[in-house]
Amino acid sequence: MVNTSGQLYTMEGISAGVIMILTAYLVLGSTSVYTPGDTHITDMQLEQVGADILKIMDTPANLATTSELEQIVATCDNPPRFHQLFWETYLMSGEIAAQRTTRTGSSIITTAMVYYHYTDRTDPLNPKMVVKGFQLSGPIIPYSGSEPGVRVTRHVKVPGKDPCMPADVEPRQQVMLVEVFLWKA
Amino acid sequence: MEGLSERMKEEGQWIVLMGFLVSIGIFFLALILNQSTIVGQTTAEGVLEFPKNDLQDVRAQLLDLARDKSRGTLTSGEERRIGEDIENLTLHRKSAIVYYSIGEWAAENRLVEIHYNNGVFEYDETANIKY
Repeated sequence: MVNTSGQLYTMEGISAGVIMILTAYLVLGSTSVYTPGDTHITDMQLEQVGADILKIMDTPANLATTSELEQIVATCDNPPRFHQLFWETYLMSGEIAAQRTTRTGSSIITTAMVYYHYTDRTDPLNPKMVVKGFQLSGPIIPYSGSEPGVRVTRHVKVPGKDPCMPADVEPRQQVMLVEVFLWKA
Repeated sequence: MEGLSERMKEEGQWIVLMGFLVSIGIFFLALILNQSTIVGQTTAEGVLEFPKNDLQDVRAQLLDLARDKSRGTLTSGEERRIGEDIENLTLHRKSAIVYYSIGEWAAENRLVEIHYNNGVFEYDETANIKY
């Protein structure tokens, strides 16, 4: 005759084994390691915020005026207000930015370039399309190259050439590309 | 034999059963928690890969350009130069090919054909604008 008196112990042992396996599975499965590759989650958010800010700056207040961004590019950011608008007014909340006495305490650094397109006719038989850029607003801290950064751009209408622009900008109505580089320092 | 069964009381079975239920509940919660990391990552990748902002920007500029040309604010030559600005800037700085053409469709209506390709994502549109 088979002795059946120990069955409860057997069942208890099996259930304990199942629970231990489940626990091990949970512990191993629910651990997430934040690898450098995952930083694009925050990159994506920063990029969207930057693109939205440029869109806001490029929206005129009414049909009769040009946008803030168009005015800034047309005058090469002189007097400087690109950084103040982009960083202080839109990226940081105005009140938080006002509490800071220096801008170096910022965790997000911005730098802006403007790219323009012209035709190089130094060789009249072989004109070349060239894209060049000039600095619109410089960074507070130079970019080291190791921080993750994102680039946001916006095409901006420029009514004509301003004396502040580089010599090879063509004197005509044109479209330039504002490129803002954002990174966390 | 009788003595062994005597020592194994069966009164605690409800406690054991509840313990099982709770552990299974925690198991499913942990499964969901485990998925959330992957969801965040794939969503971010998807968003970064899709050039939504670039596309909206280029599209708005080209439609604006077509409108200006149709209204006579810009001559054909001026329009072509600005079009070249957009095409070359997008090619050099955004690594995307942009092509457009403006065609007449009906009175005060124009068809604007827009092509965008950045190697990962391709977009074609024929927009009808009124001016």
